[in-house]
Amino acid sequence: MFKYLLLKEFQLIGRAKNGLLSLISLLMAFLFIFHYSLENSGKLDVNSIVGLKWAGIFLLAFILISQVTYEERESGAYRITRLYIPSHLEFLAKSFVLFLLLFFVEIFLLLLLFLFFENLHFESENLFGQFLYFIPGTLSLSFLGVTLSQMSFATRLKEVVLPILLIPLSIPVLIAGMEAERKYFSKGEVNTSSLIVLFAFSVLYLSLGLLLREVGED
Amino acid sequence: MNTRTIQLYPLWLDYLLFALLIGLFPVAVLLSLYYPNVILEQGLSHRIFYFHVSVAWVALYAPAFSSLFGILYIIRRDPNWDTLSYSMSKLSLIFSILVLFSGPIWAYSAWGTPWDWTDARLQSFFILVVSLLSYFVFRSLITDLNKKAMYSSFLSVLCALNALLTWGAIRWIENPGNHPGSVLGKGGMDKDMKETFWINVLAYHILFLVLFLVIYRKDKLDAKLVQVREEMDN
Repeated sequence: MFKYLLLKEFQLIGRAKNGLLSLISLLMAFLFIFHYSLENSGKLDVNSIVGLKWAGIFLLAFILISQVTYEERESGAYRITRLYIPSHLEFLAKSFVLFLLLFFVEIFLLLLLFLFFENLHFESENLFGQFLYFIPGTLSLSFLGVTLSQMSFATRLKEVVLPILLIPLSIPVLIAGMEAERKYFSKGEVNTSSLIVLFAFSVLYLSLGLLLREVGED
Repeated sequence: MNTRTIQLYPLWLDYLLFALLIGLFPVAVLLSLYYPNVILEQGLSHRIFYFHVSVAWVALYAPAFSSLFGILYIIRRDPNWDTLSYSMSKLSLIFSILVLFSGPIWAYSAWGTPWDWTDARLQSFFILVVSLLSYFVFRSLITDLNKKAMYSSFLSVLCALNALLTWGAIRWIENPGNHPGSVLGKGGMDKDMKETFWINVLAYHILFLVLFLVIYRKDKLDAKLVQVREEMDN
């Protein structure tokens, strides 16, 4: 059943493929503006690039979650799926697919960052630091996004409400992620407590999401 | 009809709280204005410290209470817990906005600028206010009463997370901004400042309790009204 659910989620994202392309274009434009306006006049330091990266991750997560939520509502998949599928499975499948997709687009984001900003050197240590923290960060954003998209379904404005919820409520993850990477790049070693905090966020949002699916049923 | 109510405490405590507020609050305000010595570098405006910090404490732990009531609603499904959580969120929004107004007044005289965009505490407090606003916007957009209560309870937990982050912004994050560390951590307040500070903390906590009672009772009446209307419609 989980396999079919994953297929359904991929199909939903496939419906939003034009949106995906616009997402990549937007990302390129976003980074190019920073490159053109700041990098040319003075090299951006690593901390600023880390901030830029997390802003990009948030933007990607926000647009992707909004698109998938819209597609799901328009196609009627939301109501139909919930009639036949256990809600926790649906939550896990949706979060997993979102995470996978965000992960791939974020690799593209990383490559662009290495290309556009000189202070971020394409080295194995740098790559390790980038991946180490953005995996739990993206996982947290996926769980939170899916949870909030369910909440937005209950409102009169549907997914239009999503930014109002997602922007302020995802800030703790972004700050924790940025702080963790800033420590990694300044000290050159993995900060275990930062990593634990990020994974704790993932577990918290996963638990909240599963609980909401369980108790927030019609 | 559900006629059960949550009795927080006996009625005589109401009178005691009101009496304490009327007696203590003017004393606290006058003390903060006239008693402690002025910090020379900051001038008279530093006296807003006694208001700002006391109000900020309440603004930071009110979301924690709100989330606690929210969790109790999720467990018990008693609408009164949701009303308590809703009232507490209202109070935390009011007190947070007061902090956002009083902070820049003090900052302008102390730092020469009303807002420091590099400061983690200031940004996180702003985010807390935005998340509380989103709680109310979201709540107003749901028509189903059960879903409204359930989803609001979850949102109150997420708002409490933002409050926790704001509390930790001067403790856990390496802060390049101007905001000072914890008042309690320093231990450097003079005796006159310390006395005035604690009296103000007490006074604003009593104000918080009194306002909470007023708002909660009003919300409880509103909730009953909605319930009666629904039952009449059915």
